[in-house]
Amino acid sequence: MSFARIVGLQPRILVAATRHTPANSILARRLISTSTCAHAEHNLQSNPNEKLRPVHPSATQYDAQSLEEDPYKRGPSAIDKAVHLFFLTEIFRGMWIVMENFFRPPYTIMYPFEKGPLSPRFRGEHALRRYPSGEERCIACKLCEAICPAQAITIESETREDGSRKTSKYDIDMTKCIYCGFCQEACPVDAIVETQNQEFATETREELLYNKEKLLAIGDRAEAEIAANLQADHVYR
Amino acid sequence: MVSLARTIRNLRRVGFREWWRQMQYIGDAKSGRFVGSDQFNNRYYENMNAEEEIPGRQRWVDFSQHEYNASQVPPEWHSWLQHIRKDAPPQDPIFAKVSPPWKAPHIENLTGTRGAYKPYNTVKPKISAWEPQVKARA
Amino acid sequence: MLGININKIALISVIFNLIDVLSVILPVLLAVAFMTIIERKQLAAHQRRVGPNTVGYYGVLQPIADALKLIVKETVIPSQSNKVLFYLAPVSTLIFSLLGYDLWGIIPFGQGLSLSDFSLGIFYTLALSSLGIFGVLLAGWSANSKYAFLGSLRSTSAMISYELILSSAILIVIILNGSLNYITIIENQQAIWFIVPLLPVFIFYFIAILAETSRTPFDLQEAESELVAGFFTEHSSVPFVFFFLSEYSSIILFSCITSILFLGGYNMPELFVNDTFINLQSIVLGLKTCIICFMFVLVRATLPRLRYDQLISLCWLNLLPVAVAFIILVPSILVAFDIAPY
Repeated sequence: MSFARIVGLQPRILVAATRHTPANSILARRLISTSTCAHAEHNLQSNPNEKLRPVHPSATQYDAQSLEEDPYKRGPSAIDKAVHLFFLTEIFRGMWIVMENFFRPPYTIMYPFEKGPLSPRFRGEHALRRYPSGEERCIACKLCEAICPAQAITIESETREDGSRKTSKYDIDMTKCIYCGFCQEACPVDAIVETQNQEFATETREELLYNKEKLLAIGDRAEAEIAANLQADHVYR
Repeated sequence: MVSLARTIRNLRRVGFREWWRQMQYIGDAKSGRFVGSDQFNNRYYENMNAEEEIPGRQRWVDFSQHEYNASQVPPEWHSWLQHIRKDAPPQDPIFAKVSPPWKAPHIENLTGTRGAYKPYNTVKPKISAWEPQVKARA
Repeated sequence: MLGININKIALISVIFNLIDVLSVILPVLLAVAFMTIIERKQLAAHQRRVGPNTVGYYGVLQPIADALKLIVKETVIPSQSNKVLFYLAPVSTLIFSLLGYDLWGIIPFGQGLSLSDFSLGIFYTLALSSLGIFGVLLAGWSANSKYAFLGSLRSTSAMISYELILSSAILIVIILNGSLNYITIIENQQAIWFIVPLLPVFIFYFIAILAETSRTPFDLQEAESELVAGFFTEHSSVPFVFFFLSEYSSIILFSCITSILFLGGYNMPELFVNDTFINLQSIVLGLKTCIICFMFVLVRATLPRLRYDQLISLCWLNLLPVAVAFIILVPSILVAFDIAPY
């Protein structure tokens, strides 16, 4: 229900919208009301019944017609146009739309309490995972270090007493990281993953230089969420 | 403008006390189904009625602490709150299966406090200072 | 003994005058402060946002937090600026737009509820509100910065141009009344508010006050992309607060004057004229002022900014002929039907 309809402007506006190209092209040139530049909408063919190019009559017919042609016959009357101009009806229609939105509820999501939807593939804070036995997954193959486009990952490896190769150093510089997810794509054992946590902002830069134990601790906390996400995604990989 | 009808409707549903608490924290009157609470007594609600809540506002948390922080939500509930998982953690089949014995308790983001993480080196330093060995004089 | 008594009486009358003035200024200052939060909340509602909602309930205390933040900021004075004028400009702007005793003092808040019943009221208001332009000029010139200078030139020429339209519109109201006194004008509107017979005049009057207070379709001085912040680019902290306050106080002042000139001031519609409603007169005036303030923000939420040449040509080529036409038309009608009040 628009404002224009309430105050009864609607029929007039409709009349104003159905403009005609006059048959007489001289008149078309002369009348500011029919010139396309004076109107916002450039619908020359507002009337579908009308042909795009009218057949031009002969010169004598043309003159006779133009004498009888009432240029204001089909368009809006001068008073209509003056009213729309002086009473700023277009501006008031715009203001009415703004006013309608005033009474509608806002779209704001109250952030810490409500959060927008997130994909299980969302790439947030990193985590290092463990096997269900508690053994860390990372085998220090350094594929993630190699693929990391920001060179944020630093790995050093060692051989343990049982002969398995494990990392002794697994540092991620979160200030360098661009969260592209290549590391978790590259990882053959699903050891490095990106969790859906995005609330790890810190006050100092040094807190963002994650080492192996920090990453393992994140993984220990978020294992259920990580496993659920991998399970949700397993059909696609 | 917060709709008056919505405020009155939710106020009638949740009662004045709960509404007052909501005004202190969320800043909007909301009503919905109580889904559950986590180990920190944060309470989680849901209202999937499309006419009452727009997408993104359908699930919300009522923090137990006054100094609330988004990272106080444990990961399982976080994935429910952000619509990553459909079911709440108590009902979720995957969460029920995955509970390894080494699972660590959730800690909120402690930045700015004494508990903040400080990076350290996990390997032996490659360069060590020269410690001169002085032979005992005869 | 007699001399002491006279001194005492003079002192008491001074104190009473002071109380009178303060009773007008303090509510106006409070209203100015809360006008900022009202504007932000209303704009947010129009754009389907929530707006500031953290400081106090529903963000009610936001203006206090804003003021505190601005006041504790460092005052930066450009080294090449004219220091005296640099400080004088915001002060004069604020005083001329606020001037409790002079501008707000002559506004009748109800029957017999004004500080002074001044027979040249409108004239006085126009004269003092025009003086605010000097603050703009001084600010732009004294800062010795090209941005401030260009901004002050822009807003000065726009304000001077639209002053003309504003005075013409007010002149029509004056012609209709035959009086410059606010109370007479209000009493004359008991039958019908002037907005009904003078609707076209009200429209260009409203456009003129939008430009006078440099509100959105005409806030060329604040065109952030071209000029940094208009004439107060170099002003920070307290001087900036002064400009900010003067902007909003002039909005409220013009809303109040509009409601007096066109919406019947403290008059209720004829329907409610009753002895019991006599005390609600100032509230009625306040409500009408609020409606006009609402319109100010609604216009800001709706319309984009004009280009500068459009701003000036709208004034001189479109509005001025219309204003002149009405200045001729209205007295002609009064004379033709012999209904002039003088």
